[in-house]
Amino acid sequence: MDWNCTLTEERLSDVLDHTLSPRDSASFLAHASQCKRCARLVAQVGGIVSELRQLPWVEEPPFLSSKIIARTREIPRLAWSPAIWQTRFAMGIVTVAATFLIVFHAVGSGTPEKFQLSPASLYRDANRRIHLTYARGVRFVNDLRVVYEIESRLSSQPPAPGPRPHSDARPKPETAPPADRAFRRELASLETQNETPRSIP
Amino acid sequence: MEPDAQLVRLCVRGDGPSWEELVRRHTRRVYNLCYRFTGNAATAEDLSQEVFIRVYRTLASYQSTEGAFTTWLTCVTRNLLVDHYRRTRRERLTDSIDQMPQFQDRPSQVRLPDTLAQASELSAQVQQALGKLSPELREAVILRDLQGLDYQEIQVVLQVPEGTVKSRINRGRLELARILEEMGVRPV
Repeated sequence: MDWNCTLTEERLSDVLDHTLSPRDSASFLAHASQCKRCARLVAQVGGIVSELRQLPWVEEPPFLSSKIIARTREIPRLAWSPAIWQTRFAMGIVTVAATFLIVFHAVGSGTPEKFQLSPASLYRDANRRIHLTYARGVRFVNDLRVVYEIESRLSSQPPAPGPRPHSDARPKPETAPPADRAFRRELASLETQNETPRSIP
Repeated sequence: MEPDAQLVRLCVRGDGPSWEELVRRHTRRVYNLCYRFTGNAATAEDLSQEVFIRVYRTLASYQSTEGAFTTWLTCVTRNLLVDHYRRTRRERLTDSIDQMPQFQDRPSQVRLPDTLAQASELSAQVQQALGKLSPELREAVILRDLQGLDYQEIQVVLQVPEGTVKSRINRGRLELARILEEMGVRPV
């Protein structure tokens, strides 16, 4: 390998820390024996590094350790609790707790003995709850449909001729006009249909 | 198990004397790192206290399997020094050259023997030269040549690849040699 002055600068630390391979080391020595500039650079930086390493450590101010100990005494011992109880994990812990709460609630509320945690029973419970929710939803939509139908029919009905009693909101069947009677029959049939219990799968 | 790791385990269990022992054992190392980086004794003292408070708060997160306690402590100190450097960057930019802090080595008025006095003088000159290095080069040289960490430990502390560590140390040494030569300091 041809060693040059640029390489000396680039690999100066390897030279000083003796981490050059034997081959590179031989190349460097061959170059340094010819190049005064490189030999001087290595000697200069090597001398500084050597002195840096021999420099005594600066003495810390007196009582610094005692001050530190006194300051850390003011901090509650909670600081030494396991790493999981740190503020940055609080949100994660709360989220996990909420997830478990929701899952247990969905599986079946009550004491832990009341529900099974086996996958089959979890699936059955979840399936049952989904179908129940669906059935309730369907029933609610049907109810709404009936109400809107009644409302729309009432609004499209022409006003009955003649005076109507004001004291009673519901007219008596004997006095009601034929069209109104037919409508009431239809309404009764709709309500009966709506109140019929549905089979829940 | 490393003695420091044993002390840390006792500390985490709530043993106060172990914490005191840990502090006394490492105060000088942390103070020196802070002092060499900032070049100011008062700032280094404040930063050392902050370092140990941070260590106290995060002691449970230290894993002895991931490395020596000294490396972890140096890592915490270095992070705090970087924070401090960023925090005070604006103040330093507004300072004039005349108002640059005078580097002091040992705030003691005791008359020293010649060898100690020479070492103290050299230490002050080195400190002055270190202050002229860029922060990246300065911390690399301090960790390698003043704190005596090996390349792998420095890699862990600085969180940069080994090639970058070597490059920074190399450039830092060359730059430091140039500055010291300009100051008229020659190695014996």
